[in-house]
Amino acid sequence: MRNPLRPLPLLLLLPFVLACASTRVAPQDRGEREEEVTAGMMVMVVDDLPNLVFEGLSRAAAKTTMVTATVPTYTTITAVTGLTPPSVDFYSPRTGDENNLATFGAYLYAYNLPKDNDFHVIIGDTPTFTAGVTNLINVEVSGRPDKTDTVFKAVRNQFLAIIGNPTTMSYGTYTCMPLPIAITVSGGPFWDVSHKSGGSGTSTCYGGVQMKTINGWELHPVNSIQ
Amino acid sequence: MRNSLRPLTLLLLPFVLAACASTRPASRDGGEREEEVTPGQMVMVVGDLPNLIFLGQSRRDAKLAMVAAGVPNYTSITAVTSLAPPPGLGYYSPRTGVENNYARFTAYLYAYNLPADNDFHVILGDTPVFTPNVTKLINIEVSGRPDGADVVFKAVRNQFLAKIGNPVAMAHGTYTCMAVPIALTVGGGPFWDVSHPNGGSGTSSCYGGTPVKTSNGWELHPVTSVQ
Repeated sequence: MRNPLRPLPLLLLLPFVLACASTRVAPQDRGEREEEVTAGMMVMVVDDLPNLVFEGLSRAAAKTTMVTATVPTYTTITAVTGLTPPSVDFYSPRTGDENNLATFGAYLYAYNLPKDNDFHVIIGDTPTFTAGVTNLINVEVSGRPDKTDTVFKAVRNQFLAIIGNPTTMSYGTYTCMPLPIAITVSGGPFWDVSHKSGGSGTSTCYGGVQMKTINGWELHPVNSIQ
Repeated sequence: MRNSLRPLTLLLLPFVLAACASTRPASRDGGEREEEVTPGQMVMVVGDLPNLIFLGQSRRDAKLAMVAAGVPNYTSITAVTSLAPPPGLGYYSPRTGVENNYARFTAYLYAYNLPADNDFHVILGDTPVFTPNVTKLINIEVSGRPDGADVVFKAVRNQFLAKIGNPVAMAHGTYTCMAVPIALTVGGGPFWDVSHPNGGSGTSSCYGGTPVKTSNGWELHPVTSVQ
């Protein structure tokens, strides 16, 4: 005789599959392509923010190499974003202009912690962001290259002090600065092969206005932020 | 003939359960008891922030009853937090006694949060920067809307959102720290939170982990204006 309970395990499976499917997690690209999350996604709360180790893959060696130049070659955002892109790929080391130093004053509009553990810091050259006027750049306060590092950790602590020393954050969620903070930042120009056409930044601040970079130039890693 | 694949469906079940268990959601208390999330938790990113509806249960009717703005009865944080708690309040009590008075004061915004009940928890103090044992704190709550037709609560939510840079998305339960506290003038009704009679609203995730937490159950709730 046929057991009427035979289909039961399969029926039980269905609610669990549906429950999991309704919990969309942020993309698994380690935050290097598109770091912005959207409504409905689930994101992880993380702590130990000064100590997080870099988890990205794209140009990983270049991203965790600080430039050693001491005299800045570039002193404005546009001096960096106007550079000619180098011929680089996913595995390229720092090259050409990427070995120079940039130092400039700017205003902090928003920041984010993607899954690669770099802080993405969106800064511009006007005291408040004005679409079509402000020149933007994404400067990345890198995750540490390893757990013995003290240099990258010091820069992370500099940045955390500027934003009120939070001890936890939600991955991928931009925080908007209602009153942009004036900062002075130094670092190496870096061509992000994941964002050649720009697009770093957010549409979740200032009522949803697009606040995104125009090309792949960043400072990465940041050497100091004050 | 016995189907050899029959045990397979049961074997799959532990994997599905494990996958679900690895995604720990924030607590399901509606955000009314403990709104602060902890590392490792998964939290939901939400949009449509001006329009979110109140999802709490504790003293629901009282939380959704605005007091009339007029000449304020209380003009400082301590004038509110030193009131005698109303006697006999329970989970279902309406506004009562001093809860029907009006408070209005200027203070500094240190941190804010959007718990799962959709009220914004706004932690204010009476000094330009938070100083432990010196600053007097209060949690004021910019309430979720009572329903989808409301325009009054939505206007207050928009006032608050304008103060914090008009974000259009937030992660539930994660406090945002104000590196440079903003001066606000707020109005609202004093409210005794039966879920927090000993205080504890606020956060230990700002300013290097210093607890920025209230000392008793007095709040402004709902807030009637943020300027």
